[in-house]
Amino acid sequence: MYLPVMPSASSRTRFLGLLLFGAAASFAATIPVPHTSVRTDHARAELVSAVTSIAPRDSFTVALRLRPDSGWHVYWSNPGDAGMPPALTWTLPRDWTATPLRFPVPRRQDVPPFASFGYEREVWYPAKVFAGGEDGGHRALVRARAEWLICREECLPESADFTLVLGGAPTRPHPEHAARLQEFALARLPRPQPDWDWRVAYDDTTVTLSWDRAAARAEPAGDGEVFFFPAEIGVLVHAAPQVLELTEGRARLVMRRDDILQAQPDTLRGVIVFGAGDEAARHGYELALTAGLPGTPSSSWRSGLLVAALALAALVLIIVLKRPHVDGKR
Amino acid sequence: MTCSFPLLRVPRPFRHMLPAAVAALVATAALTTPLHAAAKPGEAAPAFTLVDATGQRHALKDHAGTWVVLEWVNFDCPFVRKQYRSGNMPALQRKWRDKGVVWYAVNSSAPGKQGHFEGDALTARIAEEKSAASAYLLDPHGRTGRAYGAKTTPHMFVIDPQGKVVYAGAIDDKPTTRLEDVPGARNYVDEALTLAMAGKAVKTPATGAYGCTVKY
Repeated sequence: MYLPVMPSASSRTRFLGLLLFGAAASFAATIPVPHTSVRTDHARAELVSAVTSIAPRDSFTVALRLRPDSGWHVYWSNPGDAGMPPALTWTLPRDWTATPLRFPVPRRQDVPPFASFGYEREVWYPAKVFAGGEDGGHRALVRARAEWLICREECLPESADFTLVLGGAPTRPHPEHAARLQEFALARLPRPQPDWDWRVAYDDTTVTLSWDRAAARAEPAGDGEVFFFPAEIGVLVHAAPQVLELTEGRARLVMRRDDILQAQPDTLRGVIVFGAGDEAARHGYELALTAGLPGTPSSSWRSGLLVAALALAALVLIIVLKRPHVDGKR
Repeated sequence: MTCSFPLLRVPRPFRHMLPAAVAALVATAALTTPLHAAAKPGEAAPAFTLVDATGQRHALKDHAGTWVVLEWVNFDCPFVRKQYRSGNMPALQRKWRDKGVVWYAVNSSAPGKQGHFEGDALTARIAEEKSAASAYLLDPHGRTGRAYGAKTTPHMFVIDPQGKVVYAGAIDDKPTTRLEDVPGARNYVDEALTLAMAGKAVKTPATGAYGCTVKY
């Protein structure tokens, strides 16, 4: 580089100052700035890593934490009647891989005549990242772009770009994040399917899930509030109430079948949630059930008879009430 | 002769049964009435008469003998914006109108709710989105939307010249708001019209509509 001759002392100082500044600036530009917290129009978003550094071939949990503003909600993997679940696009170092986001136990949002499935206030969507074989040395860069739909009455797409900066070996857990990820992300995921002798049956208008009550005694909220969130659309009417019937040995959950698509998958997948109230009181279980005996034709015939009987009873009641009364009182 | 309604003069022994009777009637209604009626492939499309953005009346029965497409729309919904800003929906509208299809955009947003436009604001918005639909029909009371079971925007229905629904559901197979998902998507409406108008069976007559909920 050709250096011009400096005519005076002050310009020399100025020039040196500029040179130093330029050197510092270019040096700073090579240090990646971690960016793990973003404020969007209607939510606060964070990328929360369980570790501050990761050894080669080790893995760690990372979660997308979304806190929608009051009145807004984000979605489960099956958003229900409308909406869209979040997605994360990773830019990882060579040979690193990451799993898709997993979804905690959802809630139902009733927006009559519709219902959607998702989360209000706060949700942590965890994923697992697997480090490659190469030692990242002092620094590994993980970038992620999160995109989600957030709705109140109207829906808006939002996104956030994150940068995680992690050290190399040894793996070091983050002092606060590890415990919070366990409590808010991992502990709120649905549990594996329990061995309760599950059966599923379809007829013209209903899908019925049943299970053994004795086996389900381990579930504290087993006889109380329960709702089945289907993994796919087209099977159930999402906004319809689900009716729990308890017999001596078994519990049955009768659900309204979707009347347009009438989907009858070989394996019914979804999450059954027991309990009501806050997250600690609700327990979800991941289900994958192969259809058992087909629903007997008589069940829809029987419900038709029940409807006719009710209608007849109502008619009789009206006729009885319209008879002039004879007690003379007004 | 008293003018009071007979039911109000409930004989005392029966008065306590009235709440139960009402409950029975309501339960009967709940068990038998679906949440929505709905237009199912293979069945007759529900009749409608609606006024368009210019005040002109349109009825389904006016188009006996013609193919008709109904497209539930809400210009402020990001899923609809994806179809219009990409030019995809206007291109489809032009393509099929050139082949003699009547293509109605229908809006069932209640007044005051998202997507409800009227008058000059509506005309301006239709031009801004470059809609090439035959007409933009207003259904602010939601009667036609409910008759069809329109759940989302977009929600698409293809009706044959005999008035039968041959397709009901999503516009395509990419339930996202991303513009870049439009080119590679499998467009169910284009497919249904191509097959049905050639006399062939529609491969997927019903799919799960995705989008924003209709703002009844």
